[in-house]
Amino acid sequence: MTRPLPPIRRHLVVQADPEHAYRVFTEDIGTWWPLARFSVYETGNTVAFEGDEIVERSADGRTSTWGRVLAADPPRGIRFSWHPGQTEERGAVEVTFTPVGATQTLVTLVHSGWEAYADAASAAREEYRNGWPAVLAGYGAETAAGAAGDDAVWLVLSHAAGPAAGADGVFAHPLFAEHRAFLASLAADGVLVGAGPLPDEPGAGQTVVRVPADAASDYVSRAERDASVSGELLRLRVRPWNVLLP
Amino acid sequence: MSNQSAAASADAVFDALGDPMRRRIAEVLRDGPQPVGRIADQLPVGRPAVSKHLGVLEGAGIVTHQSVGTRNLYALAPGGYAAAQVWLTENWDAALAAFRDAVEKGGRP
Repeated sequence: MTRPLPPIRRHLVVQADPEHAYRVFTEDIGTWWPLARFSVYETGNTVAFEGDEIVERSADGRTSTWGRVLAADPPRGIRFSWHPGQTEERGAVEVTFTPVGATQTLVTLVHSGWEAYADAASAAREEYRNGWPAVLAGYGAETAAGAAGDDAVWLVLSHAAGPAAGADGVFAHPLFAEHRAFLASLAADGVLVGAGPLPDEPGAGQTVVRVPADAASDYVSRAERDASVSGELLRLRVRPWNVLLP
Repeated sequence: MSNQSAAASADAVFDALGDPMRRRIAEVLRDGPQPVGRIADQLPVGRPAVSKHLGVLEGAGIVTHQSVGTRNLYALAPGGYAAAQVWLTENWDAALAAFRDAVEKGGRP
């Protein structure tokens, strides 16, 4: 059998509990999905979860099924096939909602099978070509409200060798210096609990941080922007850790 | 971040992969570098068609070839999917940023 390409994996922390985050993601998708940037039809369209399908409706009554819910376990997660503009059910998206401390949620999105995605992309990329600003609006817009309920939260950053790791391995790769710099910045902030390789798996490592609760979102996005991760030398998985002892 | 040339490369990748047979060829090549004949053996089309598709895939940067003796070995190019992956990742980031705004707007005081 052929080896699949590694999935696209994104993490973000939102200031809400998993129940609310799950509800907004599913019931309210029509209120936040950037249709202007990504849709099959032109203006006047809507998108919603309808039963077990994700359906876009055009202003003149046409419909396009973007995907079908394969498994739902609210508020822990939902998995759906993902093929906007295509009939073939190939890619799949899994979104999980994990509590971070008492008041926040880590949202992890994993899109696998994305290489079979061509037609969907061609529907949306006209907009892209016409200059839709590819601005990651939310990344700079941390909510000032903060998470007053928690003092600090722990996060485990698990790293594994990514597709850019060549025969020489992760640690010899030039991009690994970027990972060291990222870890040094954590140490300089005083949030680094421990970091180092996991010798049972080539190229794997783990970092534990203890960060102010209202900065969790920022640290997760910094972990994603670590050039060794964005450059595919390392694959990142973020896991909240509920430390109970000592 | 994205720019016009990134968009253009993503276009080329998605155009190339828009054809189901080219997607099959790309899948076959995930098993490792192969000559045209062996690729064609695994597909319901002949060598000339496979060669033509390989040309398109190569033009989009998804596939490269290397001459070994008298034959060409075709392989997936390192990072060949990168433009498409960057494009999709940016779309997910934009969607998730909008999702976060929606969650937090209706959320806690």
